[in-house]
Amino acid sequence: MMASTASLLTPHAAKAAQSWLSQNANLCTTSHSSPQPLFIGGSCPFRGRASRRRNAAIVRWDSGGLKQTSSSFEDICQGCRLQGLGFGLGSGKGRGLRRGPVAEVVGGQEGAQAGASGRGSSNGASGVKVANVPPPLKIQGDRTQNGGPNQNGVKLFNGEGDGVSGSATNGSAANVSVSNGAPANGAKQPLNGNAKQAPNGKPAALVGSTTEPPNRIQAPQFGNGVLALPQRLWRRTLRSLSSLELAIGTLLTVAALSALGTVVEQNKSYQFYINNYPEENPSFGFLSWKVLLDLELDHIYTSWWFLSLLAFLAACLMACTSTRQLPMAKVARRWRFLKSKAQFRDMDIIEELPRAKAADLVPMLTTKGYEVFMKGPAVYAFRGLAGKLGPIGVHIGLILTMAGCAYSATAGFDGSSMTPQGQEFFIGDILKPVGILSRMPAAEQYRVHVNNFSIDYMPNGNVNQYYSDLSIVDLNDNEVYHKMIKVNDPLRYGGVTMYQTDWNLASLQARVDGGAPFRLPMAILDDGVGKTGKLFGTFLRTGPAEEPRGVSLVARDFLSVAIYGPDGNFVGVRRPGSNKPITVDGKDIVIEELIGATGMQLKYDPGVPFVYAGFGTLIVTVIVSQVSHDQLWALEEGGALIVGARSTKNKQSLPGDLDFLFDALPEYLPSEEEGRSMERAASGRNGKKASVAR
Amino acid sequence: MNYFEFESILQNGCFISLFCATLFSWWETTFTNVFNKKIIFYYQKNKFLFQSRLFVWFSSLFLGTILITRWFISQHAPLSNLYESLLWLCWGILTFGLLGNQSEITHSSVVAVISSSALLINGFANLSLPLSMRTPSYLIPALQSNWLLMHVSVMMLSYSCLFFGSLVSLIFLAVSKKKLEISFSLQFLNHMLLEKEKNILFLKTLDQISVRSITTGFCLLTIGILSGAVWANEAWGSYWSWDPKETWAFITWLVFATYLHFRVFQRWEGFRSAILASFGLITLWICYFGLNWLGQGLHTYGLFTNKI
Repeated sequence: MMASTASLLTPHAAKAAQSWLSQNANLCTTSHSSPQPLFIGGSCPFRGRASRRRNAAIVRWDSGGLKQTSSSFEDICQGCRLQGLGFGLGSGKGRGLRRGPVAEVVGGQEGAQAGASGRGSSNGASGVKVANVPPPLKIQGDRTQNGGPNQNGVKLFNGEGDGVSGSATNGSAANVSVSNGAPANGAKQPLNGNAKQAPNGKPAALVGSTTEPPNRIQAPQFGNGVLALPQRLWRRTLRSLSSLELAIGTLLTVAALSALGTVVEQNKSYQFYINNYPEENPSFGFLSWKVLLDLELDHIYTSWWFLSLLAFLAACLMACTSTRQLPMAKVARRWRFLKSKAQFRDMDIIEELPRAKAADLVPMLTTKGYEVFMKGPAVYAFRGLAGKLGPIGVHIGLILTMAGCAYSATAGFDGSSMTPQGQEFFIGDILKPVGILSRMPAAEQYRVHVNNFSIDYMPNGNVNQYYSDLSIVDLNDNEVYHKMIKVNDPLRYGGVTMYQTDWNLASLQARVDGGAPFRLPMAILDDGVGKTGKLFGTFLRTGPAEEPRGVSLVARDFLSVAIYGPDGNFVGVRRPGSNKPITVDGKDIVIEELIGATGMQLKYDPGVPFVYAGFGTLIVTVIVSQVSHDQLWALEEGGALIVGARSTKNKQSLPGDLDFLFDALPEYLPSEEEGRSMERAASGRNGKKASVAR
Repeated sequence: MNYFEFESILQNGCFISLFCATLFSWWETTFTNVFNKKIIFYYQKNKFLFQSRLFVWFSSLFLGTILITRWFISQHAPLSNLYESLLWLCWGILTFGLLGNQSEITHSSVVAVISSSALLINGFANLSLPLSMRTPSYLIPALQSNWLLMHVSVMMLSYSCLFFGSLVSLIFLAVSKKKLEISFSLQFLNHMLLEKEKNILFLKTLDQISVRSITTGFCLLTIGILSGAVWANEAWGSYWSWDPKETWAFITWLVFATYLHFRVFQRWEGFRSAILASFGLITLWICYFGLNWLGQGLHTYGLFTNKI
């Protein structure tokens, strides 16, 4: 982004910028494909994306260079900020000017001063003194291409630059330095290392990217062309949707509304609400049945506002995942060395170990399962990266589940049937579409024939299980499938699933006075809510047609039928099929059998595979998220080793673990000469101490 | 001796043991001011009196035996109605409370809370529920499935973990108000700390116990809800029907997800997350217990029998 062009920067400033970039570029993620300059509204100079910031600065960019008008901002994207990355490391909470070269390079003379003052001492050099800048890093292969670096290996950085980047010190204005070797294909691609100005001032080819779009620095806007405004709107929307507070607020609103749905009875009849929420005495002073139905409180879970809230939640989730978590995942695999003692803060444990060496930590850490990186006096180690990536999987699982549910809700079929034994129905008749995308499955043309319905009883007479023997029959009356279903064991055919859910007694077959058998349909007297079973009854006429005089036959299940006489008195009980007649009102009645009807629920749900996939993802990733992500930094400074460690889930055991580590670290006692010089310094010039004479 | 006599012996044993655990742990919590030399002396002479933890183990053992014998007698997993699930909850709280409470510093307060709540739950289950619910009986057809063990047991375990974590958060809230003195466990006598360090260590340990058990409970809750959804799909053809129990389990899940998010992202550790966990406790309790009194929905196996 910085580049080259003399029109914008003085050579001095350009050098400063390049050197800064070259030593710090490895901190951020790869492929800054179109890094943008700062401008009003801000975007991460490294990643060219919308950034989230707390104290935004107004930054103006004009042809003379960047002029900064506010001094407290941190205009880096959320991913870098969360990692404490970017320009200064640590979680700088708007700590003044901790920006990159762009900020420092304020056209011309001021640039040098701003660079000197603003950058802080983290690299020990102001923008001007290029020579003091440590050479850039050489990376052994692009990490992203490596697949799995050896898990317990140590990556050493020898600090040598590659040849091209040395050109940063050449003082030529047009340089673009390839600061971190190996781009994706492993070959170095030095851009023009001579003094010729690059035609479009390509910005530094940072790790991974080899082709850069034309320089866009001149234009103080987000991008060029037609898509500028929509792009900007999109990024702004994405940024605001990925706010955690918004997401949690939506979540809790969904929770509260769902709770409301359990208090207000759902999906009842119109009359129910009229009876229970009367207008004359509305609950809470306003909730009459009219208000309730207008607000769609009788079907909260399918009302438009609830569904939109769920859709909004899904949108927040997706925004959060893409803008925060995915960058964080990329960044978490990187190393980040701390360069000074002052940067050790915000950690669970910080310890200073006098006279210890960083190199000793390395083998100890690797045996404990850390992945260790070391560069000079600094060490960075982490383990349990899965714990960092787990939450991303959880969100993805949630999104997948919601997508599957949405698909089910718009493209499914549903229906229920109550079919007496011996009869059949067309699948296509029963299935009714659920949403606008529903396409009737091919199984619609088949018929389901109920061969038999039976009930299994327990020794005490309670129902044990219901069985329906079903055959699937095609249009030519061939049986194509046969199964006996029971509760928890449905029939699946052609994508349609049939569940045993209910049953009825359909009819009763009886003979009166030895005549021909006939069937009487039975009706439900009581659907059993709140009691131990349903009750069915029928009426057998025993008097002449003009009189409503007859016998009531009542049954609970297939086991027995209770007979009540015309006056309502109980007469007797008979078991169907026992052939034992009962005399009522002058007639001998034999109850031959009870015919049942099987109640089934039919369903065709194309969204189920997605929902199940989402479930599986959720289960696995929720468990994986429990892995603790432990990080450890170490720095040799001032004769002591400073170690800082942080853990996401192991905070309690971390001190114990690390104590073990620290106790095992050797302490290097000063050598004889050092000891002598220390003593000499301590005792002044007198040399009173008994030191060995040279 | 028939089954009922055997079970009643076990139940009584469990109750007595819980009662003793409660008494002793309350006593320990009240009188363990570390700087009282008389108490220290008495403790060192009579260590066997200060083992409330042991009584909790006994109760847990009794309850486990009760559940296993029920399993044998009724030939299905003992999870078919409110009574049996209450027993599981008791057992879970006691066991997870002991397992999760490895730290010496806090264990007498934690034991005090879990033993008293287990006592109350067990007492309610045995004394207030009708006999028809307490006798082992046959399973209704809808519950005759292998999923019963998978779904309901995982849910009960998750409720136990979440319940335990939220209880510990309640201790945190009570203690951090600074009106109650910190009571360190007597076993922690050897560590001489300043008053302020004592406070901080105690609260930090409570916080850690609470977050770890809530996190475990959250994982189990996720698995439980999802296995319930899969079971519903296999049995009734619909993996989510906004049944009150399902809805409240979902709400509990959301509340604890909020707890975890705020802990990580807003760094709400300590007092504020304890408040959230207490809120989660209320939700959890409504979800598990309060809904049985509603009497409607697919899940009311407890007080009223179901339709099919």
